[in-house]
Amino acid sequence: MMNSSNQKKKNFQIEAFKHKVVVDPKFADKTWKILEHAIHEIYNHNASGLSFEELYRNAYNMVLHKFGEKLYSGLVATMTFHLQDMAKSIEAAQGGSFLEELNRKWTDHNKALQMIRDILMYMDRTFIQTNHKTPVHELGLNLWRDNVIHSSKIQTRLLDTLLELIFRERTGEVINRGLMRNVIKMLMDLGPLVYQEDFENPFLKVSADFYRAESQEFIECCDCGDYLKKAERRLNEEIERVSQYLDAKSETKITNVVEEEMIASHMLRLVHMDNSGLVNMLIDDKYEDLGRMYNLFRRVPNGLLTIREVMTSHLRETGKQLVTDPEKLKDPVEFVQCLLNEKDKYDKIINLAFSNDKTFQNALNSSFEFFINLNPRSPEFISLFVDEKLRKGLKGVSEEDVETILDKVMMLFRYLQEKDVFEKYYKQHLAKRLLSGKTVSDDAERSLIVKLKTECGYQFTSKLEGMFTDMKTSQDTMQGFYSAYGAELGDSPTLVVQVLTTGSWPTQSSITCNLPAEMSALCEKFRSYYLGTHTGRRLSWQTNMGTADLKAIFGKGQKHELNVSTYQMCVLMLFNTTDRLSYRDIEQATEIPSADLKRCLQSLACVKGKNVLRKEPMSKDIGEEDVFFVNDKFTSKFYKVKIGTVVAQKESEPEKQETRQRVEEDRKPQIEAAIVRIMKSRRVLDHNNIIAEVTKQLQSRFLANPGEIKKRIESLIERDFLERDSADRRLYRYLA
Amino acid sequence: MESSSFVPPRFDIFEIYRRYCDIMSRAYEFGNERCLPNEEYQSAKFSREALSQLLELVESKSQIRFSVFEEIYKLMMRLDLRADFSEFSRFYDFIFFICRENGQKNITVSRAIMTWRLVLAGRFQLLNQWCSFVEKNQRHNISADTWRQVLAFSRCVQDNLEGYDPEGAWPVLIDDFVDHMYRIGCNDTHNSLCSCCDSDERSFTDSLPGLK
Repeated sequence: MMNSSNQKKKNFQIEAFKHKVVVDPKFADKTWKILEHAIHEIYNHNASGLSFEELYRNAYNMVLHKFGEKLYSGLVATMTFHLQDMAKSIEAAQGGSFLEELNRKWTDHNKALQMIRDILMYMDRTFIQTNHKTPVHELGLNLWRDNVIHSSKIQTRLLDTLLELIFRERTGEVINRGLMRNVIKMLMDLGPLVYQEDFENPFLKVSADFYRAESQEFIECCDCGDYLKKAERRLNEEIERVSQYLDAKSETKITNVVEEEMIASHMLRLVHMDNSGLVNMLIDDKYEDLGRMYNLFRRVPNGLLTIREVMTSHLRETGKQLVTDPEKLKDPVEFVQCLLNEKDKYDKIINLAFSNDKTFQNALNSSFEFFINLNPRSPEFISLFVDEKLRKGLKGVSEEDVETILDKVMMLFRYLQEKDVFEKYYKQHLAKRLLSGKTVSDDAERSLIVKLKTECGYQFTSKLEGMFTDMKTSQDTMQGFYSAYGAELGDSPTLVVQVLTTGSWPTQSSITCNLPAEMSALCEKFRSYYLGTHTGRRLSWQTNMGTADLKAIFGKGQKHELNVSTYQMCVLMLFNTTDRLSYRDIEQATEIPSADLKRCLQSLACVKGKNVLRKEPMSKDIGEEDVFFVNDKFTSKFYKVKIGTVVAQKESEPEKQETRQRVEEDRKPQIEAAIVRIMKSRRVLDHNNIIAEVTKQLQSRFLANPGEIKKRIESLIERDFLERDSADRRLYRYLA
Repeated sequence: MESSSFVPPRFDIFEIYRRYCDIMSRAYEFGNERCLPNEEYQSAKFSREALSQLLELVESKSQIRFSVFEEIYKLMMRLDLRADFSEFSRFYDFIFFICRENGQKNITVSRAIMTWRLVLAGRFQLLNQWCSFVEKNQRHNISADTWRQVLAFSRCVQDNLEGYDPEGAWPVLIDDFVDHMYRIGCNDTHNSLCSCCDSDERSFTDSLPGLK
């Protein structure tokens, strides 16, 4: 085309070579006869004498000379003839040989078909495509389907035989899986429709009937665990069957049938089965059964939901019983230990049986949160548990184990709604531990504080940390004091002062009692030393919190070292100068508050093995008319005698009320601060949103009561921090 | 000396009320025209100052303090309160203003109850129950907010407490009152709680600008 403009080409015309082909009028018939004969020979296993080249050429010529149609219809007729023949021989096969015969004929047909297709390849490529006929191979399959598989005498017999064999295999017999595989494969080769209609659908239906009946039988006679084992085995058998001789696509279908019949329709009955259902499995820690239940139920809709709901309600129920059991309330340490055990138990179940399923963990957490807060004393008890552990429970326990215990406690702490109540108690207990020198491990103490800090922020623990700082500073102060005055103090008693910052420590209104003369002189020295180095401070003595070590020599010269409280020391020192003292004398001399004095005298005179004093009359309680004197006959196998004070470990009822009230008071400014913070950023907000946001902000510390929030809002309105919107009374406005 | 401190020969309750209305509508105008938060704050401050000046004046120059209830009654007779709720609402707020003593921000329970009985008679179906409840249970003084909310509450509840919404941002005293009423079982249809009648309140505030 490019050069057509400048160079004209001469057009040559080449005449086609005209070769007159004279067609033999009998050409088509003759050629077809040859081919037909060849097809017969192929089906008769006599193909070795045929020439592929010759047959191919003949077929080629027929198509070329427009006899394709004749060839095609001839092929259909010949093949049909042979297939009908085959069908007859298959029908005639007796009993067990039926499938084998069918399989054999199928193999034969396939081989024949392969050869025929090769011979007729030219027709396949041209004639069939232009005339939209069925290709040879497919045609062969269709003819097989219509003449053999769908022949009235074979169709139902084939299906029945297959289903019968599967049934026999299900009941434990061994069947010829290879044959099964071939026959099923044949059905699959005939197209998905044939496989489904002639086998799969009836198979699924029969299976459903089978498993429905079987599950009915099992559920009547098995316990839950056994039933699940059987169901699991059946499920695995079906999966194996599919892999052995069915279409892979059938797997989900048949497992659905088993799941539906064996699990879904009996789910509730299984879960609630008497003596062996889910609750019993949970109680008895049947990890294997639980795991099986989880894996089976996971397959059906709402299966896991059912397990989770039953587990949750069981947990809540047992948890509620646990936290409200009056027996358990007697021992806080035991109470918390029970909670921890319960948590461990379910953690293990979820880990081993429920594959650490997040939804189950959430259910566990929410259940714990639910019942722990049912008991308002939970915060106190958890703090007491820590107290117990940090006092003595951790002796000889490795550092890692200590961490584990503390981590577990923190987990319970996280469930608490009233974290501020915990803080209150924790502070009290920590103060006692620190001041009495009872803490076992400073590292453990600090580790827990760090954990609390990461959980609740630094303001939660700042006071607690302040307490530690005070302890450290006090040590330094005492060193300074003794290096300054050590020489002139001579052999006077040793004084250890802990200077506590007001505010950091739990406040206890205390009346300073009268100290023995030698002590009060020493205390005065310390006071002047301390105030000399720190101006502008005030010291007051908390004699109710101190301890003392006394050396005592009794009647027959027994020497003992007595470890007592400051109050007890004050009482005992009185007996250095006199033999007998009445209750009133002691009260007057020491000015110890009477409730404390009674408790302290009780532990000095009434506890067996520690009664360094005697009293008249002898009785369990201290009366105002009692008279006391030194117990000369006091003996103890220990040199050091620790005299405890009779104290209630748990809080008494009025103390509890007081703590509660203090907590409520402390919450007010926190709620107000939260309201102001929120309103400052939002300027205008409606009532319900304020309540919601305040609750959310304070959640990490306590659950704010909406009524209390409302009161705080009113108070803020009165103090002109907020005002109500003049148009919409539900809107609050922040006033700068 | 500012004009507000000028004392006319007849400095009676009507004059005080007139000045009160003056200050309030001016504050309202102020708030309506400028919406900057700072301006708003300024306006609130301005009216607060004006009101406390007025109160000082009342305390020093007039005798009505000693017979405040009679004076209120006189004023109530003179004003046409039946027709216009916004007028009544302003009058109601004025009562709180005039009942305050010695620069306090709230009024005593006994004073509040007496004036409620006087001005809310016929306007509050639960007036009797309310007053006796407050008498028995309220130890603190009544704050301005509570005072105002009582009016809104009186307009939105029926005698069976229908119209009370527990989430409705009512002052705690009103919540407690409703609880108390439920407890003594005065009503048996409290299942039909619905939110309060906003439309009424709207109409009252919308009509305020018209009073300028």
